Amino acid sequence: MLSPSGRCGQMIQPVRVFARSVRTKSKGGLPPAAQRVVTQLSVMSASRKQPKLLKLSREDLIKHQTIQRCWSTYQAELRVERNEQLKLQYKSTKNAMDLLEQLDPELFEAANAPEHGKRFPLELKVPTEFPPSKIWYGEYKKKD
Amino acid sequence: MLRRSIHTSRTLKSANVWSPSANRAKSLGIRSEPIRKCILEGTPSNGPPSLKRRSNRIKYNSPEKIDDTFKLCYDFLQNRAAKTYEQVSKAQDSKEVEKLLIEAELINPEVQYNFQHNDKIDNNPETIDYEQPVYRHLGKEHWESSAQMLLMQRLETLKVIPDTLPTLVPRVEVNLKFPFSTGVNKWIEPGELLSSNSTSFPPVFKIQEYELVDPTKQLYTILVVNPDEPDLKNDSFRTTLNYGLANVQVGYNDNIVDARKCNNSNVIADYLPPVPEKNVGSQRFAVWVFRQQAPLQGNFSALNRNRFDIRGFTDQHSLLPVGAHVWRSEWDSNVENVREQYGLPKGRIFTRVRS
Amino acid sequence: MSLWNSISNGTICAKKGACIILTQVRTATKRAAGSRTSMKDSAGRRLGPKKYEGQPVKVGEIIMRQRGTKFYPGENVGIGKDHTIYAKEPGVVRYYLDPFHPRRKFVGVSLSREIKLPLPHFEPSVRRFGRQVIKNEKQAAQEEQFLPRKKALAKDEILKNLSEREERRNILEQEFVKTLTESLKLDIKDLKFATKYLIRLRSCLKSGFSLEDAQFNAKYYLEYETKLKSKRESWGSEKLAEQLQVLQDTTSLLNESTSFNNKLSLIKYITSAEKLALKQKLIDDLKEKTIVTKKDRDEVRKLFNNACDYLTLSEEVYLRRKFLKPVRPETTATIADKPSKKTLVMRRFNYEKSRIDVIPRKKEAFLSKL
Repeated sequence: MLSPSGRCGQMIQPVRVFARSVRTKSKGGLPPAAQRVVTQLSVMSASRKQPKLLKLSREDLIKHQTIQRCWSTYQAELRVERNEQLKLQYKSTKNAMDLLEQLDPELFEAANAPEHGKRFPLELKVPTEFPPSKIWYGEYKKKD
Repeated sequence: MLRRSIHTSRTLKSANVWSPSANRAKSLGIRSEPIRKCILEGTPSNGPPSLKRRSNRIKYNSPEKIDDTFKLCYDFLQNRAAKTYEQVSKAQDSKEVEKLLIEAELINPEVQYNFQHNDKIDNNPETIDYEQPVYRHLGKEHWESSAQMLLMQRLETLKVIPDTLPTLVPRVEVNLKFPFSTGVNKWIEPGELLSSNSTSFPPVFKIQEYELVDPTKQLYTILVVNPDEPDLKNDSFRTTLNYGLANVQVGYNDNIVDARKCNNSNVIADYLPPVPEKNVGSQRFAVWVFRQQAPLQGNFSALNRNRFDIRGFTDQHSLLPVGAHVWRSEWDSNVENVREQYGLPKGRIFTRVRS
Repeated sequence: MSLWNSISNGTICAKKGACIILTQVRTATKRAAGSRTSMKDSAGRRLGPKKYEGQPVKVGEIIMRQRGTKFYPGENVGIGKDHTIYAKEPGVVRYYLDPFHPRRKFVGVSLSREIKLPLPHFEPSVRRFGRQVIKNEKQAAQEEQFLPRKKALAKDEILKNLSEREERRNILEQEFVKTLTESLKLDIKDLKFATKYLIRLRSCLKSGFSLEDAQFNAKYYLEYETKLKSKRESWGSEKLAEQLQVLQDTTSLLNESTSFNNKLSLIKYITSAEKLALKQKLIDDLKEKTIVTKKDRDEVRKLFNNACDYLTLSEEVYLRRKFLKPVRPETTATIADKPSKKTLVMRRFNYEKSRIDVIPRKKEAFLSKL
């Protein structure tokens, strides 16, 4: 005997197709409630969506601009410094590798062996004074 | 981090390059002492002085801790400026010096305040001094942000380019006003339609140079041409020269060209006011400003003003077009009066419908 | 088993029935009747080029009928609301491509067979004037009188305003003459020049020029006008020089002996040092006075009587506001203890306590109630 729910499903399915003008669920994309919000926002003019402009006095406006400019200058300097550091790091690594290649090509090959599948190489682990309660699983490989 | 870096750099050198001193230009600081104090030393207890009404000052709340943060940032930026000034003393090329001076002063809040809150066209050299590279840089940016674009748009839509000259790479800001005829004090917007009364006396030009030139040597030529004069013989239009000035010398600040700035020797063509005849439509009056390579010499009374070849003229004297402006004029009922005033013959009347 | 029961009860029967209807619709095989709209083809719209390359056209002739802009309007042609392209000038039809719009095809009219389209980008455009001089004098006069409707409607009002302005200027002129001759007693050679100059100067000051610029503008205007007049009436150079000299003398005399106060009325010349001294004196006088009675108020007002002559407008407004406050600040001297007939009551919302404060104030607190 067929299960009642199975029968019911068989019978009701065409009904659902018949009543497709009534939308109860979204057809992919956003859920209807979110879609409604999006529609309302899109109807609203752009100026009303923006946060209100801060009303600053002339002096405070200049102070604000100066602070912003200072912060961006500071960030830019940091960025330059970091890039310089990275460049130096790369340069010294490259020098070391070149030397290694000259001294021992086999070791050089081993050092440059591709480690593609390896997710958590042991070198990435930060050394700690005590062993962790969970053991570092260095040989993890993604299963296909 | 920021605090620490500022602290260390402050111990290195305490150069107050932005504070007023004898060899520092006055225009690089704020003129009003209360406002200067409010910015540099913090808002006074009775509110910012730029708010004029007491009730507004009481209502106003500054953002929290803005003064402390500002002081920190001011010191930081001033140190950067001090470093740039050190480079200035080492630099040799004048262009490089200009660039470094801009860099050092552009981050100065006082300069920014002066530029943002003062008139840029009718500038007061005590606040906006275009002799200073920073103000030239800021002025150029401000000009490029709207007025230059508007000018180029008008020149192109009104086809001043290429009807008079092939094209223009704008380098100087040209402004125009007619103060003598009506006493109205207003800079003309490019492409504006003006009445014959307002244009009945010669205009006053303002040539604002933003680039690094030698203002004591650089000379300018100004031509006003009308490419819309009817030419019945060819059933087309001809270009007339309405006004011509040559060997005009302007400074960075003192740059309004009127009778005080140029005498009869500068005038290569007397002013002929726009007197459009009835039914010819609106005529464009293109103002062209050229940089000269050498002082113009020659007999300009022999110029063919009625069929003026502006391209030939610029080629002949190797003039570089650097700025332009345009206004338009139409027939109105005052045109006859202007003609009478200048002793011109009565205007012709053309058919209203083209055929 | 409730669902199963409900089916057997017949509550889902309706849906079941609907199912059956649906299957009936689906299994309907009356498809062979064909689409109802297939017989509704309209007649051809006669689109396409009406004039071909090299064909001569007159003004207004249609060159192309199209749906959408298959061809774009080029030189000397217009485009209608249904994208019909028509000639705006007589000439020869040209179909061409423009390198500035590589994906568009253009139709244009070149004014003569020699002119190729597109026109070279940096060359002046070739234009046809297309109007003739009206030689018939009657017609010409009629045409000269013609104004477009809006201008014709505005004309009367403009003329009225003009005459009113002239009238006002005349009155002003007479006032100037009166002041110059009677109160200032200046020895002016040419009163006409003088009044003209003063009126110009006044209007320049009114429109915001600095004094120096205003003086220059007014003088230059008169000079230029004189030069034009000399040209018109072909004066000799001597007469012109003489007139210009008169002008120069008059204007310099006026600049030295007259000035305009901040209400733009003509007064005797006051040097800047004198102005400064007068201002200082006024401020000192004002500081001495405290307004308690009506008499004090009138005295302070009297101090301001001639202030417009030596103060700028903003200075005057500032001082008036400072020393003639309509309502004095709330001090113990101006606040009454209890509201009575001799006090005035002020109500103000107190934001801290969020209620309305009632402040009884003495009449001395109000300038108008003294």
